[in-house]
Amino acid sequence: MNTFAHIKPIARYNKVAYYSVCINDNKTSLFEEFINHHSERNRKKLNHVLEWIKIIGDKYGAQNHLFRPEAAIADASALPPKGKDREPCYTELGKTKANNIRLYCLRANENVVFLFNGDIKTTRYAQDCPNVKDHFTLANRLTKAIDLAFVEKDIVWNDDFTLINCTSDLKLFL
Amino acid sequence: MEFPKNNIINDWLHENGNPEITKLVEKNLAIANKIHEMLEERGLKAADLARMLKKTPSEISKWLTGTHTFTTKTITKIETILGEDIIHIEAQKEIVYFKIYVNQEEEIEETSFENSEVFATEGGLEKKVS
Repeated sequence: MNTFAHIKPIARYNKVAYYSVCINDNKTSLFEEFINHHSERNRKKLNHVLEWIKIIGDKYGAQNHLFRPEAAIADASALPPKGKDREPCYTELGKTKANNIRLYCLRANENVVFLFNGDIKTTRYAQDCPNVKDHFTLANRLTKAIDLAFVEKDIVWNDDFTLINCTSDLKLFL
Repeated sequence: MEFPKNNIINDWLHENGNPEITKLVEKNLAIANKIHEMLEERGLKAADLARMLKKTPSEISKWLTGTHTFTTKTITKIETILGEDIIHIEAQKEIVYFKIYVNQEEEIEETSFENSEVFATEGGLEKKVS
């Protein structure tokens, strides 16, 4: 059976519209699964990532420097970003700790971002980490499929490139 | 494509969010954004700032992503190198209410400002004339 995904709008802020995807006939998007999964296990790390998504959406827009490229075959990125050789940090009880949670996403432009799924990264490279490996691979396949859908005009931009549109039955084959 | 009425991100933060994390993320992003703007205004890149501060380019890149928690020492170094303040500490404002009487014979204590009958508004003084 072919695996496919369909696009689900998540939230719209002043400067960024966030979308996610549902796999096959699933009604819950990957991003919603990410929130559900980490709400109990990694509440503070999730808090940090969600707050960051909100503030970027409200104030700054999805500027390129805020996203760290993390792609095997396409344009997938990961939140939160980090410097080339340093782990991203967050503060927990006043102590700076590495925020090793990863949320894989696709920054389509400064106004549109697709949020996928992610987990706690335990190794230097995503491909080596048992937690994030599958999320990383899926994010890259989704990114490739979405890029192709843009090229083939299955997904189209609105006039000012702040939103996307597609038919409700669009299937992105992975 | 319609967005749902419920914003799941805002809902989660409203229910579970820690205000301390909110402030931290807001400030880190604001500082990073300001530094990013200051570099752009001067035609500088992260690598240039790295050289000026004797840091590695990867360290500066991380600062500009908005996830780094800056110390005042680091902020002051950047302010000094770039010649512009990143953080502006607001001066403490003191509000003084004046009491003005027109054609009033009664002697008024000079310091009796507490029982003000004249209020400063944006449009100017609103006088109570007796």
